[in-house]
Amino acid sequence: MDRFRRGDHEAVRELYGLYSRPVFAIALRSLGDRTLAEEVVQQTFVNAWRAAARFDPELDPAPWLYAIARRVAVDVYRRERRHREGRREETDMAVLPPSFEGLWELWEVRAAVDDLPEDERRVIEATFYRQLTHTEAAAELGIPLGTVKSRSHRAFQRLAGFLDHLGTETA
Amino acid sequence: MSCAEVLEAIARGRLEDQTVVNHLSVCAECRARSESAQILGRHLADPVMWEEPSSDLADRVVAAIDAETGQEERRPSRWRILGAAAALCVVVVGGMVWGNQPDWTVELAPGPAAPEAGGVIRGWNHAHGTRMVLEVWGLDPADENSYYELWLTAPDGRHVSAGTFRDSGSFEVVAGVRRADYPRIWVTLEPADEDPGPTSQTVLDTPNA
Repeated sequence: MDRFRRGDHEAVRELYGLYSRPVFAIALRSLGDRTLAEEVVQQTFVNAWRAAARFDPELDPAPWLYAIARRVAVDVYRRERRHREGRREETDMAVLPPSFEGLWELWEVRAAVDDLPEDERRVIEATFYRQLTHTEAAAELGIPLGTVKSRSHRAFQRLAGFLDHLGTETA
Repeated sequence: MSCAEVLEAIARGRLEDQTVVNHLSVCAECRARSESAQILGRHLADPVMWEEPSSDLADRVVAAIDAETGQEERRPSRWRILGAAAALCVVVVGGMVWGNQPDWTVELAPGPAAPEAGGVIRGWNHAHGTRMVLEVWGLDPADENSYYELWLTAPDGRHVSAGTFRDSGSFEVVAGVRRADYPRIWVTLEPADEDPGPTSQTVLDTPNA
């Protein structure tokens, strides 16, 4: 964190590599726009850099970065809404849309998916997101059916182990 | 079916398969974990989960931090809350270190919420936004439930918060927008709540904004 605070390129890229996808995921979910989501990612890391001196390096940076990212996304959402609706000042901005609900949960899942080995992640992407059967995934990925099944099973076990608490917390 | 296979089946939306139903009827642990498995499955099927940011975004982040780091190294403390006299020194020293005059200066007029207040803001334009030094005087210290916030506002009403402070003084701030796009610069007194928008308690404002 000290190297990050000094703006060390390697440290910035390291932190970016670890957390840019969860930041991007919650920004994209909440704002529904890639350009705005990337703006949130950039501003989140800049704000984190500005605040890094006050961050305790003994702590997990994920909740800290999440809080910064969510705040930036809220600011961008309200700015865009004002722009869209031609308002000069807002008086009724307390309520956020449903797209801002459950963001921490999304962050956690995205981070857990990123922690998977690449070969397992590809199987999960193919079978959960693209809804391919194991046989179709085997053909698509060019690996034996048994390998797809074992990777899928292993990956799901890892994810379920990380994320057993889903649904027991509110974000 | 093993517990692991049942949970995976639930995550894949097969909660009503007879084998799953049968297993859940006799396995309390899987019943307890079935909700988290369903939530996990929903997230994994969500396109947002699999979107990737642009490949050049890391470079942009590094460049944005670089743009600030260069001046940060010369001025290691940002958001210092200083007395007005000391603050003036900071600005003067800052100007000398940077070796150039500000690109623009705005004298802020007192707003309805602080008729005795005054301020001046000087700005330096750079590639990724605007660096500013705000000097404020005549403000009462904000209590623990409030703070002052500096805003930049575009002609179409979009606001960008450039930072917060609690008392008169001099403050260096950086905003990721161009001054030319956000001509109104103003300061409000904000309650310490969750609402990030500006209140109507304007304490300083750009004249004729």
